[in-house]
Amino acid sequence: MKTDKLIDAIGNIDDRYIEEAHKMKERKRFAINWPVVSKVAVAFGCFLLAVTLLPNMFSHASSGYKSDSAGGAYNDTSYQGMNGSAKPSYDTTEYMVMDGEGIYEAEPSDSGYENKPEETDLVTANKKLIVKASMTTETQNLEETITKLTSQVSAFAGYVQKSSTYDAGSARVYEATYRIPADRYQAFLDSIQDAGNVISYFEETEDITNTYTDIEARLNTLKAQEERVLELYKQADSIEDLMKVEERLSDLRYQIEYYEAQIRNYDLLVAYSTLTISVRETKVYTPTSTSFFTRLGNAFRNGWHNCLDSIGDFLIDVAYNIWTILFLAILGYVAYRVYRHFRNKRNG
Amino acid sequence: MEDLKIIELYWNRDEEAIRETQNKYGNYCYTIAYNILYNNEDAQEIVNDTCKATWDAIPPAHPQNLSTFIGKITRNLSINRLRYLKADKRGGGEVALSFDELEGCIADTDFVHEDQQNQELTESIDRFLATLKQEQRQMFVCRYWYFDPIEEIAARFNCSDSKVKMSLMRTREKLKAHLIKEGVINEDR
Repeated sequence: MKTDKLIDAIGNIDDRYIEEAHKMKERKRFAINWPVVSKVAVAFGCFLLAVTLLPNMFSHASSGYKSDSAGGAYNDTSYQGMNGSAKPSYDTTEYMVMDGEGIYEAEPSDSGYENKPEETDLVTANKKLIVKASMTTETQNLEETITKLTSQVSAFAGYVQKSSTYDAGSARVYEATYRIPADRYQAFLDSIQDAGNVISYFEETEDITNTYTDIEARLNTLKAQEERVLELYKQADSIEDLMKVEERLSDLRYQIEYYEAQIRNYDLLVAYSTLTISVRETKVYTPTSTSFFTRLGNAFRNGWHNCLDSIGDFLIDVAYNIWTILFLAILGYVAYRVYRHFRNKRNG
Repeated sequence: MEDLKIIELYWNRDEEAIRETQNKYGNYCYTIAYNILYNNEDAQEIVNDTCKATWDAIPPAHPQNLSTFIGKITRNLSINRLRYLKADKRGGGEVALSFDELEGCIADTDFVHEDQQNQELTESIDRFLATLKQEQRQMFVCRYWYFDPIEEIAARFNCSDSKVKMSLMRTREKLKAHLIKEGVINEDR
């Protein structure tokens, strides 16, 4: 009863207060509900941020793991004696000698890169070796590094088999395959040592001496057979014999051409070493030290840079999608207005 | 049509006045009635009843403000209907919540004079409203005169539901203190 009395009393309050509230209701009828809009915007922003940042974070964690693994590999095998060095060097290259069917000999070298040319010279004097290498580096100035690399390739009478530069999201990457004369390959590596911070280097030497010798022997045999068949051809006195000899000659020449092509291909592979290089543009070089606290500090620093990169990527993504976002926002607002309109209509 | 002309039509006993009132204030009355009764048919009936009651009231009444005059009639008719429905276990909606809120405000108090006239209580509330900030007053009137839902008030004032609830709670506490101070209610039973 008390409440009824109070409600009735409120019902008879001064008209100006009722009017004041009514005018306010009318004035604010089309106002945007900023708290709701801001909540939706924040939720949407968080969603976009998560979608943008999480993959990058995982990718960074993943790449960090790989980098550590690579570093560990260097320390364990390839980079023996190089701990503490600011820049990995090639004297720790892992050599794998293959005979075409599989690795039969692996000889990690601890003699250092400087000694390898002599060793290689000795080997190449007697053996047919195909050298294939891959290198991952990073640089703070991609254009300068590319210029330096390509000029060195030309200087060493090599050539660029293929190259590409692309944007990998937060950084640009240059990838190329160089063919360098085998006898100048090590000198070429020396010359590009300061072109960037080398993250990893892998070199594989395939020994095709046996295969090459086999092919040469087969080729010589086939050529000897060809000469004998040619003599038979001259001595043939019947059409039937001639046809048989010609058929054999044709077969021999086909085999000779096949093996000659293989020899030419092997000669080219032996004469020119192949280096596949990947250069990634970065702001901070990947550390090579393995001290826990140094790595921890570097992880924080790199994480910060990664975070900034991710925010930058996010802003770029937003810029790319700004028209879609605006369109959806307008669409959402119109839908909200229509909903409000019908709700108000229902409520009178 | 302007309010003065509508009132003139009422005074001239022209039925056009009812149509004009419905056109101009139909939605307004419906909103008030619906907020209280929470039922479409009942609200629509109240709108019709309001027109009839206005026809009966003018003349002799000559309202200064037609909208609030009609609004008050609608509110009173709706509350009366609600009381009838509550007796019949029907009704509810925003007004029930508002009743609960106001009941909490004066639960542990008594009116000093049980037979106190509504007019005195209304005047006290008017004086109280005059002391409030405009926004607080508007929220109070929206909630306890128009029986607007909290969400709608929050949307109109561009603030959160919790802010509206907090503002209303403080206003109720102030109202209680004001009524005690003016000797309208006792603090303790």
